[in-house]
Amino acid sequence: MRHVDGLSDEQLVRRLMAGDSQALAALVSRHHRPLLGYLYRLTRGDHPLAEDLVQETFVRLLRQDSYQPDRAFKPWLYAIATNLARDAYRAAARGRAVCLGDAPLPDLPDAGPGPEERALVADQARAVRDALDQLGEEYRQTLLLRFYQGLRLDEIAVALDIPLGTVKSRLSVGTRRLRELLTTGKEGAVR
Amino acid sequence: MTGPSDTWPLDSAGHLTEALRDQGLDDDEIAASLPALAQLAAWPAPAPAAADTERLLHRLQPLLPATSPVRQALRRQPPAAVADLRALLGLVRTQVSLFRPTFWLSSAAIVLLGVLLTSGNAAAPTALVLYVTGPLLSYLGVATAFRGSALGLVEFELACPPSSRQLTLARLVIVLGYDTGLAVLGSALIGVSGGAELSALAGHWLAPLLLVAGLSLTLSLWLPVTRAAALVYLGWLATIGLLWLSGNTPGAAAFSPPVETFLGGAGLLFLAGAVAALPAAIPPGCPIADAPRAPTGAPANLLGRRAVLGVAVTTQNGFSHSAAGTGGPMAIEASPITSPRAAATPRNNPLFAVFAWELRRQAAGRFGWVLAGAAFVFFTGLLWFKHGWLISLKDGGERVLVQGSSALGLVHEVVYVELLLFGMFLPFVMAEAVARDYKQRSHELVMATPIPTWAYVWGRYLAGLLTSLGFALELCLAALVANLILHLNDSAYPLPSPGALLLAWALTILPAAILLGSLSFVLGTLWPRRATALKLAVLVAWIMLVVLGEDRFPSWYPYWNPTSYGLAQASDAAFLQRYQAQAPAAAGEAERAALSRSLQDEPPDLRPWALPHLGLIALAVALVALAATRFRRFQNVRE
Repeated sequence: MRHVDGLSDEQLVRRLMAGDSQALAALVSRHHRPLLGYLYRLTRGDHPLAEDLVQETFVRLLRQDSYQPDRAFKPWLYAIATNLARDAYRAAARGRAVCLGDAPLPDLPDAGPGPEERALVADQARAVRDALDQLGEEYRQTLLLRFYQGLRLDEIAVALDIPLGTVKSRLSVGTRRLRELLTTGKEGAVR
Repeated sequence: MTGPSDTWPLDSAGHLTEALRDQGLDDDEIAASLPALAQLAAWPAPAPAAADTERLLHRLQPLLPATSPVRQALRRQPPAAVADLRALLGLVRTQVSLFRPTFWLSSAAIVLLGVLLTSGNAAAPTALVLYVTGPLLSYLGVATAFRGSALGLVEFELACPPSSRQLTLARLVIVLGYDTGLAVLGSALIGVSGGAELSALAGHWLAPLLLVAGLSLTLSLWLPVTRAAALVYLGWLATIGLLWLSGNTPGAAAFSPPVETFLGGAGLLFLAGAVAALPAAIPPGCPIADAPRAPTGAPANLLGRRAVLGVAVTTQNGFSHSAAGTGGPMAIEASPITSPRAAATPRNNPLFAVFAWELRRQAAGRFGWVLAGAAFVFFTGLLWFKHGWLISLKDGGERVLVQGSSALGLVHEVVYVELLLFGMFLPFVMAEAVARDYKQRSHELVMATPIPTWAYVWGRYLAGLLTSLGFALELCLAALVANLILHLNDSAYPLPSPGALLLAWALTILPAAILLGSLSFVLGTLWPRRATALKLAVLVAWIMLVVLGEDRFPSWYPYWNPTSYGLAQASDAAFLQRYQAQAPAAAGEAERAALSRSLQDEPPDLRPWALPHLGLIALAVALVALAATRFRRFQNVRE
């Protein structure tokens, strides 16, 4: 796989569409972890669902032959993932599929602190999760892509299929609301 | 398990600040937001283990696009854009092989004909001749280049990496490039012989050529391409004929250079429009299997499915399709030995069955009918234009005009115009009567049927011969019609005598058609894999017979020469001898002209040629009998 390591995502996906298995391995290795992180947070910490969605995202990627070589790959990948998560939410809302939002927090790595400190860290994580959970869906997606996944504003616009100005306004409103939630502990979602 | 530290920008306050500034936040907002956003790092996400990634890969591997190495290579090097001239030229190079020698030779022959009819003849209507022959090149080129549907090859064409537009462009480059080259060459030849300016001549060729090509291609979006090209060409001929009859001679407004420029430009626009419409007509990747099937005989077109590069080639009736197109393996289904229709035939003679089957196959093909119609129009027009010959008395002092519609003139027309060209056409009709099965890989299948070998060979021969004689009879009719029109337009030309015409035809065209057709058939049957080369050999031999003339051969040769040049020259000599003897007694030009017309109307004595030409027919039949005995049923089986 060494000869594909230096290739860009776009070059890899072109090879992937031609049936190159090494390109698939390189793309999965490169994006499995960040994609899992995004979907884990997007599903409010539902790890099994996030794993399923990661797999389904890659499956959709392989089945789509509509990829245009001049199109950036990462926004395209996150667009697929976001749409899949949205579909999962809608299915959950109809009570047919999964129950979201009650997933336990993951175990933290054993960095050496005592039980009290670990409990404190877990509380902070829960607070962040709850704060994000209280934001509207569109604000949460935008903030996750920006602050966890590190996507540029234009990439977020492509991934969410919204204008750049909308990205900026969502980030502005979402950031302010998140700040209020995290610093004051007030509740209330931006709806 | 991992924290968010592996993702930008949460790994440092600097990156976070930079990100917030990008979002348009001012310093106060950034300072207020930083502490809250830094808390996001407190919610870590799980990191997949290497084994998890491996498992995911294992599940995804079966979903990889199942593509062959060839397809992968093609995808890595997709067909270049049309704008890429090198790619287009490469495609042109591959497409050149689609054009058979008949196309190259026929196009050259058409131009040569135009040159022969106009060069050195100041009275010849040069523009008119070129207006007729130039578009004929277009018709031939368009019908040849886009014959894929008729050959049942559209699926292959659509399966090729180049798009339909690229293929069309490449073929147009070939056809129009070759035709333009020929037209310029022909113009140069006419110009050298004092015809007119090169640019004016090239305009006469190219303007109608481009217009007919553009209109044909455009019309082929709705009609089968051969029908579209034929309709446009016939429409063009009708227009020219009407203009000509209404007095718009070359040099008048209807044929002026600005009009020609306009017509050529319009042709180019039509070509561009047709090419631009192609992708809409055949979307790339169009699933052929899902395409609607055209019923047999139904109009098939580019939008509808069977024209320039049409989609649905498969017809519901295999027999009709194969008969209308290329024969091929499907023809076996229609074998008279096995088909219900043959079983019901009262005359279950195998020779009759093969003969009838072959005739049905030929009759079902559109091309033959179009060709017959075009040949009639062509020869009628040709004889209409070339209706007089100036021949010299032996002392060279006087030249006498032989009128085409006179008894002597009919011999001229039949020998010098019709037979000359018809002889070049015959090898292409007859040589492949058997060889076609080899070319279409259906020979073994046909031979696996219980058809006796002799019936197969003789049946194919008789069917081909009948077709050839049908064409020959058409020439007789064309001569009659052309001279009838000539007589109606100019009373100086006598009413053509059907008896004299039929006699000349029976003694010249008929034996030559049987001999040449039989010879071509024999050669193509005994050496089917070399049929193309043998056709050309017969063609060259025929031209050599014409070029060599009569002088360098023994005295018996003119009677046996199948070109009948000896017959025509002897008729001329007999006429001149009588004219020279009686002309001194005539007073004045008018009386000599009347004497000439009177002598020309006397049927020439052709009896000395009857026996030799019957001998030629007997020789032809003997050759075919020999071929029938020598024909090996399975030539590729080594014993």
